Amino acid sequence: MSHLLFPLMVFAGIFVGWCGFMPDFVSEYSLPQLCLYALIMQVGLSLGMRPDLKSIVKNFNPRLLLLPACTIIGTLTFTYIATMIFTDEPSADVMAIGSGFGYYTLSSVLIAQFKEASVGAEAAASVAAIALLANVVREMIALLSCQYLSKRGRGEAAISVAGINSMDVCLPMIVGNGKSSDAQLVSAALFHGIILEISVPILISIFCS
Amino acid sequence: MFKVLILLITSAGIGYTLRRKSGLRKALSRTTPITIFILLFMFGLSIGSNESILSNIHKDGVKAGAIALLGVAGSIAATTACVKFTNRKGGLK
Repeated sequence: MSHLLFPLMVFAGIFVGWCGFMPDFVSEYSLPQLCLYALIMQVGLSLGMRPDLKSIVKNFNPRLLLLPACTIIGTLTFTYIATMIFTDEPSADVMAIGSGFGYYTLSSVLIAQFKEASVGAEAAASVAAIALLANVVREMIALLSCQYLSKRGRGEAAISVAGINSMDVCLPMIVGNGKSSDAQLVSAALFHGIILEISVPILISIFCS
Repeated sequence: MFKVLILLITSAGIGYTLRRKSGLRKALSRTTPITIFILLFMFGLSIGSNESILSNIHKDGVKAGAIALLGVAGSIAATTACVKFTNRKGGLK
């Protein structure tokens, strides 16, 4: 349900902003900044409170690190190609957009906040809008392709395509095929999602700094 | 960057310490979407109040689609190469 409400909130904000109503408290009290820190804290608390965190750490296999590493390296390498196509956008901005890995809520607000200090609110919102769209598209591609890839025995590729969503919305599509490798895929998908969740704010702050 | 990283690690540590508090877990699952709603609404406000962003939205859509497709292609390419490379040793899992 909340997945439907997220884009709705953006559209509601766009409509209210388009009507010319911009409440003063939005800029006066650094509300977006405070909310952003609150969100990062909530993400961290949720990670720490995961009931399966202990078993994931206990059954840790160093090879599991290869999968999120492949996702990060592959995504950033190919995103670099986009920097050569869209020469009007600074390379670091395009790389920051690619670093969302489908986490459209966090990546867009992080980019909007981090870029505001250096380029101003207007330019920051423009980059953040592309980030929002790009990561929504990535989630859609993941939702449409994960099951197909997984059924063809390419579970690792399905996890990688899902990005951050490998540990939540795409998990049933990655592992719901009744195969013997499902149990291994579950831990690989959860670990992959957790590593990417940690890497999103780190990579975005690097590219936006 | 360090502010974000420190906040993330500290809160993950606090979360692990308080992992048995089911009330906190429930409160988190209820309040996190609210924080995201507020942030996304304010993000929408900044887009909607800005005419130049609205007028360029079709161009931005093409850029966003291309970046997303390239990201997915890169993920598949890197994972496929890595699986092939490590297959003899039991794959990535």
